Amino acid sequence: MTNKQLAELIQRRLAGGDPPVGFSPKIEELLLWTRIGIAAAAMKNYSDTANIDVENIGDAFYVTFKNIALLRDDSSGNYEGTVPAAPYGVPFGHDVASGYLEGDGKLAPMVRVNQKQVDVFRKLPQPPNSVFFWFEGSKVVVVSEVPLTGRSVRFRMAASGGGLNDTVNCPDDAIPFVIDYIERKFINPMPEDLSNDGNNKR
Amino acid sequence: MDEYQNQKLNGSEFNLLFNQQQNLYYSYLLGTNEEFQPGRPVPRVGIGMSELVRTKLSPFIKTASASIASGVTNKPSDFGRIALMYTPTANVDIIDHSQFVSRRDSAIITTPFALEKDTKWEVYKTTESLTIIYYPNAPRAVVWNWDSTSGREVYTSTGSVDPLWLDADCYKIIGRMLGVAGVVVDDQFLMNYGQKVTNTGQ
Repeated sequence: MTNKQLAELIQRRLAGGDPPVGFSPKIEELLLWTRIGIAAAAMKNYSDTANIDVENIGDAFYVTFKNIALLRDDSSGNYEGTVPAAPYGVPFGHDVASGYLEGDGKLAPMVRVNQKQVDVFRKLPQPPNSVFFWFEGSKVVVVSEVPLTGRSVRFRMAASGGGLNDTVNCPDDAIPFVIDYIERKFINPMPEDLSNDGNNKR
Repeated sequence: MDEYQNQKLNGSEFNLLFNQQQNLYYSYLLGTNEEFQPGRPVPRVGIGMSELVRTKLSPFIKTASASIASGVTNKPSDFGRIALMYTPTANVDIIDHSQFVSRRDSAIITTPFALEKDTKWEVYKTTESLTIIYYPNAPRAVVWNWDSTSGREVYTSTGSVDPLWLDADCYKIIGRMLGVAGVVVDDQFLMNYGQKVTNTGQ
């Protein structure tokens, strides 16, 4: 199922069939909701598995962002790049599974640093040629003693990914949760709108 | 008509009454805002509600294409009420004027929309140059023309204009006419009479 199909599925369910012109919520609006719903499903997936002591997030929640360009931040000497979506807020290690430096057809692994350890880490002696990184929202900060100008990186992480026609980044068995989650948002009474002329009344 | 129902309608009165009633019936099928309730601007009967209403109005549904020039598309000269507007690639929502700025500045909704204004629509968020619209236009004036050389009014097709309504709706209109004129006769009676003429030829 693609992201657009999932959004349309929910829209058709809310409309009770073919949505008329002017129907709200629209596909683009529901696409954003599906991202929120899938993120909630990922967290639920983690919680459910943690309850039975396995602590896991389904592989289908993961996405790989490739060819993330790095730019040097002159004020800090760090390198920075931006990924299309921030990692989910699930526990460390489950959110960003791996990070690699790309180039010449080879991948060199980078070491992820926990946010709490960033400052401590800076004071420690660093192994030669090691590259470290951490995330701030959708921005990745990469620290390297070796110049990385012109290099790119890739990450495998639990995050929203894909465009309209890409396969939805969620296991099929979590889709019912996503649909229920979103539909509940639209069932609650909306503020009364007396200026509405009926064109987009559900 | 007097209270004994023993007078007659002449041709002019018939035409006047028929046209008056067909316009009222047409308006009823489109939907009357008198039936709106606070917070629920939906008539009991209205266009777009069911196949039945759509079929009844089908003789009057027209379609037209109009170019979008400088963000403006003009209404057809016989425009009545909008049923649907779209460009070759997307639906166009006809929005309420009060929604204009929130829709124009929306960071989420990219669907084209239009504002209705005197003889035209202002169309936004599209790069297309064409709109296609479906709209019901008002029923044409019906004329029952007659020749009175025989001393009484005898129907002549010359100069007469037939109604476009489907047969069942002609009965409805005639029933309404007779109701206004004071003749008590129900729709079923007229339909039975019409069926009798069809069956027996007289």
